[in-house]
Amino acid sequence: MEPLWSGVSEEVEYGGEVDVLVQGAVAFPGRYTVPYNCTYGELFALAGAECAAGYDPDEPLRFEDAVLSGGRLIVYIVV
Amino acid sequence: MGEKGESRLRRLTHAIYAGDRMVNFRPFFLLSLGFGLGIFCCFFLGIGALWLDLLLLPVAACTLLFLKRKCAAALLFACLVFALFTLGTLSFAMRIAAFERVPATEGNCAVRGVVEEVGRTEETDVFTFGSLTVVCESGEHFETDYRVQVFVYGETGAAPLSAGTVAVFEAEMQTYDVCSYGRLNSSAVIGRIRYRAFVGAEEFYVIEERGEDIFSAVRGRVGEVLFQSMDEESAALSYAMLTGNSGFMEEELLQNFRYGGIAHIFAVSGLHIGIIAGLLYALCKKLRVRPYISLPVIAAVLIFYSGVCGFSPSSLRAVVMCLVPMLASAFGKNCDRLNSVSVAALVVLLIDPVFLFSIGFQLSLAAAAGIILLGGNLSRLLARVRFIPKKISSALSVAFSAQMCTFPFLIDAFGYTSGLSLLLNLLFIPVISAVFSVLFAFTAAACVFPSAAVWLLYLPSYLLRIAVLPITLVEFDVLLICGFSFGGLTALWLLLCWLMTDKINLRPVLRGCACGILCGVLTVCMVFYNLPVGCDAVMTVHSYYGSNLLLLRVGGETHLIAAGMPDEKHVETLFLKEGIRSLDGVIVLAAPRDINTAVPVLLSHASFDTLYVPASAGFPDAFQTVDVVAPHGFFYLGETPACFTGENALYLNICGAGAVVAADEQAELPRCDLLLAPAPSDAFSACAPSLSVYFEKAEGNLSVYSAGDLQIGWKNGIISVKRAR
Repeated sequence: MEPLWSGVSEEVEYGGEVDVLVQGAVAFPGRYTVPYNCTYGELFALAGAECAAGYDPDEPLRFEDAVLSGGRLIVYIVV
Repeated sequence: MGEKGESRLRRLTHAIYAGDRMVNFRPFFLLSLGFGLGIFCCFFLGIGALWLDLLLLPVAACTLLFLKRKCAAALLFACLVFALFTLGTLSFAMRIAAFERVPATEGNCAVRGVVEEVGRTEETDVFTFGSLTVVCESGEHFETDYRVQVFVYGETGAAPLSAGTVAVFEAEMQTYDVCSYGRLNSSAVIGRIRYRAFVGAEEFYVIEERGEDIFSAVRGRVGEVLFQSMDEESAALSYAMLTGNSGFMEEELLQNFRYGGIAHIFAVSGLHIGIIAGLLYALCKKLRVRPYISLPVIAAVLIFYSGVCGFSPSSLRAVVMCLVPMLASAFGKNCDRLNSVSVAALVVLLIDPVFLFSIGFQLSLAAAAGIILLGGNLSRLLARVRFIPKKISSALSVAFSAQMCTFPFLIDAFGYTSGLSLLLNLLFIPVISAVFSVLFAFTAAACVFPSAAVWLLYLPSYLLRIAVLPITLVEFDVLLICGFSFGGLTALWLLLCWLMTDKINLRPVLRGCACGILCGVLTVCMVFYNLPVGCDAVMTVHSYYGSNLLLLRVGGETHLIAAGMPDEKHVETLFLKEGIRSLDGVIVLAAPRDINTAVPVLLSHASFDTLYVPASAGFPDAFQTVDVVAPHGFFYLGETPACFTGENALYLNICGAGAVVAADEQAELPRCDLLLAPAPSDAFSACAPSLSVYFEKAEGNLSVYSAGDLQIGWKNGIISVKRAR
């Protein structure tokens, strides 16, 4: 007879990255893959622009403008 | 060892304990402990528990040598304990194997069987059929003496069935597994119920009426007499108190008894058996019946009564505990109460080892053991308090000691215990004991003289109505102790209780220190066990036969996601266990009609302001106290971005990990790191999850059905899953 009780302990790693599509008045528009808790300041620095009006540079990315495309989470930012 | 050494040892031992030894030798306690441990170890280790015998024998021998210091006798006794451990392991393994050998069924089956039990839930009549002949859709057929529980919806008594009826019906038979949702299905295994089915009242074809067994006949007679002679509420209460079957009581009233911690009056146990034994003993004494006649007569009546109550573990335990001292006294022997409760436990477990996992047996044994171990000491302590009369201190000590030992079992099984229990037990139990003795005597008379039943049962009916009036008028769900669980720490709690008894002869200072240290250890362990330490986000997954509830805790907020229609009992138990009185948001992944039904069910157990629904569902904002939000695209559950993908699926981004919760199979689910779904299906392959957790049975996969409630934590880029507390 096999034991009726079995322990459960599973762990998986995940990337924790988000795709961001930056367009508009930035030096390097395009698609960036950034960490989940990336701030607007860090993102705009990558895109070669000052932090646009309406975005707090210290605030992490918000997902109100995100879409699920091809099964991936993409945040659209149009400056 | 020289004289000096012996003298030093003697001084040391006397510094630790008073008297000849630290713990008195109680053979039956050790024997029943050995047997119970064998069963317990078999549950966790399977048949491999037999290897523990190799460890147990020398440990038992050394312990007994320490206690008894007589080599040959101690070794012989150790062998006996070892044998009982082995017997416990083997009997449990055989019991489980016998249950699993009964074929599992799939699809529609034609079934012929004999009605063995008749019961009732709030919504259905329940008939238990035995002596089954089953013909499956595939053509396979078999006979079994295992049973099927058939739930019949509709008007009470519509089905033309009673105990002893042989009938045929066709239904989809669902097979009970030995374990489901992380727990042993003890009631199914003990009751030999392998299947369940749902059948309409008109779908039975009666072949013949056979006689019912004598216990069913007496039970039926008692029910008939009560329900014909009393009002329905009093009859249901009386029937529950006399037979332990509370199925005819109103669920709300029964639940109020549970909230008050006094529902144990409906489990025939020491209270009932003691009163009946007392009545019979008084009658025999009045009639000057000799002990060699009265003892077997009382024993026969008590055993018969236990049979009428279905040989429930609590009634069996109580009957054995009643008979052992009587037998001991008849043979001129002293009877230690701890040994007698141990014999009772051993007898019950020998009858069916699965009783060890029955909550009824656990509570019955814990209460009896608590009263025996703690009651005396506590009573003596309280007797020193001048303003407390002796009878009050005795009643208080009995109630408190029973509460102490049943506390962790109640919390783990039901999610709560009553803060009013001590007070209500003190006030209510003496009254109900008196009412029960009148009820029992007059019901017995009414069964013998049915023409006078109405008159005979008038007095008990009146007394019962008066006695339970406070329970019907006052709601007791106000002072519930809930929101945590003990799990394996129950053993530490019971050890602490044992340290406080007079069964261990420690010096007071040492006893105080040991209790203090154990309290500290228990407190720390409870904190770590109950609080989700060290995770950025925690989701607990709870399932029970289609009711799938996920609690997401992030950033100090708690949100509920129900994948499918939540079951009210499941919701109540979960919220009590988790200490949830309010939620920051609710999502129900179901059809709009089911969401409409689910919201009031949830609101009756916790408050919340916001209900999120998919915009595509077209769900109306029809609730006065709840805001219905139908977001297009992403919205936030606290700090967690979420998005509906279809009507019955939700995508969440928890600490950067994508998670999909699906209530059913649907197309076009996004990729994710974690999938939570009912069962494996090709429809979920598009998600390509790194980790899948299923709610229902999923062979070879992680599921709540096999492992029990699960806790998923997110921390530093790792998702970890373990059993929830």
